[in-house]
Amino acid sequence: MWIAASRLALVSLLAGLLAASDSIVAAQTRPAAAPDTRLTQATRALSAGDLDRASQLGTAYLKQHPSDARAHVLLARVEIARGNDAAAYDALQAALKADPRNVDALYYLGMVTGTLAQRQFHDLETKAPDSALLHQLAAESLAAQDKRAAAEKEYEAALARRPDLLESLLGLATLQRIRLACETAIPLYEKAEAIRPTFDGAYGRAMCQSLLQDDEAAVKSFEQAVERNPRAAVAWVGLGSSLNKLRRSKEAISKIQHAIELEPTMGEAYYALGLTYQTAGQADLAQDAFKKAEQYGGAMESAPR
Amino acid sequence: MRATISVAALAAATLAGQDLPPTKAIPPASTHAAHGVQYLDVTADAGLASFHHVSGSPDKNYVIEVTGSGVAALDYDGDGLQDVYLVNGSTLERVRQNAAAPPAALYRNVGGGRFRDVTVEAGVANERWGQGVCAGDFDNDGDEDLYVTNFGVNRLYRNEGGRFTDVATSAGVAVDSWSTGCAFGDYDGDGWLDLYVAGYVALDLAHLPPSPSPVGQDFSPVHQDSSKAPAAQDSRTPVGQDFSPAQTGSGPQVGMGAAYSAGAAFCTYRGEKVMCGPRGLAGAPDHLFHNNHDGTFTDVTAGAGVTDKKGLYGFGVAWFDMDDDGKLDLLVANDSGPNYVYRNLGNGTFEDISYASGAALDGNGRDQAHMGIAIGDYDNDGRDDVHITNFADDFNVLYHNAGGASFNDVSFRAGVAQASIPFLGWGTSFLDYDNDGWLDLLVVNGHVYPMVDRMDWNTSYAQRALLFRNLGNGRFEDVGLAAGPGLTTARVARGAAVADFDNDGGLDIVVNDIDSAPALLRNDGTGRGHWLTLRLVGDPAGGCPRDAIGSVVFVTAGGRRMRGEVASGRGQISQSDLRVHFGLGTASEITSLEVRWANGQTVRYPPPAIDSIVTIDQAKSAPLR
Repeated sequence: MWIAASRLALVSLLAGLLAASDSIVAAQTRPAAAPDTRLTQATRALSAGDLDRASQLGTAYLKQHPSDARAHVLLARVEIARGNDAAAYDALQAALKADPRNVDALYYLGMVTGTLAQRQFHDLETKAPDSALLHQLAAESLAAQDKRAAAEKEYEAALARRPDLLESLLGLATLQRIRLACETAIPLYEKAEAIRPTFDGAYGRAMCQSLLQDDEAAVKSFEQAVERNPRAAVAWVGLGSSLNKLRRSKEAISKIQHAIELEPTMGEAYYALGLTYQTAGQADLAQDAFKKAEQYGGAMESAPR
Repeated sequence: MRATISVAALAAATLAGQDLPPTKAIPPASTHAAHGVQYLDVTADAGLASFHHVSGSPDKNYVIEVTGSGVAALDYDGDGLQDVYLVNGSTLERVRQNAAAPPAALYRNVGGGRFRDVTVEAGVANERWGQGVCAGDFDNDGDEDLYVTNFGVNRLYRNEGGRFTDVATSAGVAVDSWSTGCAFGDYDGDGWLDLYVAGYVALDLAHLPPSPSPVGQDFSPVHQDSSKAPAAQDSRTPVGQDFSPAQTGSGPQVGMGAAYSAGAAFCTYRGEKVMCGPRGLAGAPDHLFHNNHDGTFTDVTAGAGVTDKKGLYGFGVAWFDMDDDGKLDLLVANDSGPNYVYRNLGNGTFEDISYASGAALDGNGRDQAHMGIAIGDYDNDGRDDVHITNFADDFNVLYHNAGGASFNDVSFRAGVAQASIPFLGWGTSFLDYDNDGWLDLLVVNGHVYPMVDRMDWNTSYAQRALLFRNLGNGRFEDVGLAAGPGLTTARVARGAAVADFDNDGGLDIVVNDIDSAPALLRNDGTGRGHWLTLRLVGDPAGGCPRDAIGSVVFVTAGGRRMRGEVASGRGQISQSDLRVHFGLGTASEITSLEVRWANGQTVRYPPPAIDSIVTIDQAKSAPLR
C-alpha cells in the first residue's frame, strides 16, 4: 500500500510539473470537428453545476463515441467536482488511452494526482508521524522533483529510523551515485544486497565500481546484474566495457553484441563495441560501430551513471 | 503542484545548519605539497585591480551572461616581460542599445612586479562582448598578434611595433556569431600560422530562451514558437526505489546545465528555475582559416573536414601533435557534448577520430560539459596527455595518451576526479609550479548559477581553485591550504593563463574572474627546484612560423626526459606564456636539449645553463656538434 502511495506521489509530482507549465495550460487542444450536441449540452450542464445531468449526457455520448477523449475528460471533471478523485483519475487515464497527447487530460491528471498524493501523504503523516516510510515517501517525492540534496536527507532520516529499509538504501545510494559519490554509495549498495539481492543493487554498485575504475569488481557486479535481469541492455554494455578495460575484448564483444540484440538502437552500446573492437585490433569493425554510435548518438548523451 | 507543499516544507527544514561546501572549505595542506611554495594575490600591488570584468546581470538570466572571458599572457612589445591582456564582457542592455561594451585591457609589464594600462595607446579595447583570446604571429613579422573572440564580430589585432590594428575583416576572419575558443597553429607545415575558432551558441537576442527571473522577461523570451529552437530531451527522470536504467533507458542528466526545450516556459536544474542552455539551443559553427601568407585567410572548414557537423557548443581549442607524427592535430572541447578530435592527415585535411580516440567521452561513454583544455606530458612518457574541465556534479577528465592517437580516461585512478566533482571547472593548465620536473595541474572554478549559494547542493557560486601536485607516480593530490591564499580564495573564475611574469623561474597565474577584478597570483617561496625557460624563434624561410608555435622541446635532466611545447590558445579560451618552461628539480645540469621544430626539423642543441631564460633561434643558434 505504501509503495503504491509513493508511486502515486511520484506520478503526481511529475504530472504536477507538467500542469505548472504555461505552455501546457495555454495550449489546450481543441478538435477540428464541431462537438456533438450532447457533449455540448453536457459541458453546459457541468458549467451550470448540474453534475448529474452532465454525467448522464456525457455517459450517453461516450457509449456512441467510446474513443473520444473529450468525453472522458468531461466525465473526469464531473468526478472532480464531486470530490471523487479516484474515479476522475480512472476517467483521465481512459482519456489518455484514447488520445495520449490530450493536453486537457494531462492538465486535469496533474491536478487530480496532486490531490491524491497530497491526501495519501497527509494520511501517512497523521497515522505514522516521523516514520521511516513517511521520510521515504518524502525522499521519493523530492527526488522526483530533482531536489536531490533534500531527498538524500529524507532517505537518511528514513534509514535512521529503519536501517534495513531496502528502498531507502537503494534510493540513497542511487542519489549518491548520480552525484558521483561512489565511495559512500558502494557501502549502501552492499548493505542493500545483504538484505535482498536486486538488480538495482548489483547494477548501481557495478556502475560505481566502473566509475572508480575498479574494473575487476565491476565485472563481478555487472554479472550479477545481468543474471538478475537478463534483458537489461545497459548492464550488458557495462559488463562488456569493464571486460574491455581488462583487455578481455573477446568476451566483451559478445556481451555488448547481446546488448545490441536487446536494444538495436542503443548508441552507447555501439560506442562501447567500437572501443572494444579497437582493443581487439579490429579497426574496420570499430569504425562501423562508431558510425552506428554516431547514428544513434542520442542515447549515448544520456548514458547512465 | 499542491502535492509538493508538505515535502517542500520538509526540504526547507533540511537546509538549516549546512556546512561550508567543499568548493569554499579549504582542506588542510597536503603532506605531499611542495614545501615553501605558494601563490599570493598581488593584483593590487601590480596595478591590475583597476580592471573590472562585466558579464551581464547579477542574476545571470541568460547563458551569454555566464561564460565569462579569457585572458592572455604575452610579450607584446618584445621586452622580455610577459604582459597581460584581459578580455571583457558586456550586458544585454548595452548590446540592445548598440552601446560600446566595457573595454578589454592590456597591461604592460614594466618590471618590478608592476603593470601599466596601455589599452588605449595599443588600440586593443575591443569594446564588444569579449569571450576568448589567443596569440600568434600570423604575419611572421616578429611580434605577437592577438585574435579576440566575441559575442558579435571577432577581432584580429595585428601588432605593429606595440600598436595594434583590427584587420579581422580585411583578413577574412571576422566571424560574426558567438565565438569562444581559438588557437593558432600551422596545420599544413607551410610556415604560416592558421587559425581555428570555436563557435558556441547561435543566440538570437530577439528570441532569447526564457529567463528564470521576472526581470529577464524584458528581453522578448521565446515561449510558444517551437520553430525557433530545437527540442531538447527531458532531463528529468524520476529516481525512486525501483529506478532501473534498463527500464528507463537513461539516468538523470546531471553534470550539465539546464536544457532548453522548445516552447518551455522555464528551464530547471535540480528542480530549480535557472537560465537555459546551452543544451537545447542551436550551436554556432566552428571555423578553420588557412593563412594565405599575405595577411589574409581563407575559410577551409568544410574542405579540411573539420565542420562542426553536430552543431555542438565549442569552448576550448588545442592544436597538438597527439600521435607524434610531426603534424598538428586538433582537439575541440564541446560543452554538453562529445569533444571533436581531428587527426591531421598531412594533406590539408583531417580525419574525425573523436570516438575512436577515446577522448570524446569519458571512460564510461558519457557526455560531459567540456570547458577548458590543458595539454601536457604529466607522466614524462614523451606523449601529450589531455585534461578537460567540466560542470559541477561531474568530474574533470584526464585522458592519458596511450600512443597512436588513443586516449584512456584515468581521471579517478590519477586522483584528479573525486576532488573536482563539486566544482564547476573552467581554466586549466599543466604547470610545474614547484619545478620538481613533474607537471602539476591547475584548475580555476566558479559556478554559472548564482542561486546555488541558497541551496544545499554541496557547491557554491564562488569557488576556490584546485592545485593538484603531481606525485611522480601517475597520481595527483590536491595540495589544499598549501596552495596559498591566492588560490584558496573563492572566486567566480573563468579564463586563466600561466606565465613567469617576474622571470624568476616560478610560474605565476592570472585569472579573469566574472563581474570582478582579475587575480594576479605570484608563485612565491624558496622551495622550488631548478628551472629552464626557452624562447623559441622559428625560421619562416625554412617553413616554421616565426614564433615557433607548434614546436616541441624535450629536455633531459636528473634522469627525466620532459616534454614542453610552444602553444597558442588552450585553457579556458585563454593564452599562456609562449615560452617553454621546465622544472628541473635538484638536477644541477641539463644533459640533453632537443627541439622538434614546427616544420618537422629535429635539432639537438648544447645544454644551456640551468635557472636561466634562453632563446633558441632556428636560423641562428648552433646545434650540438
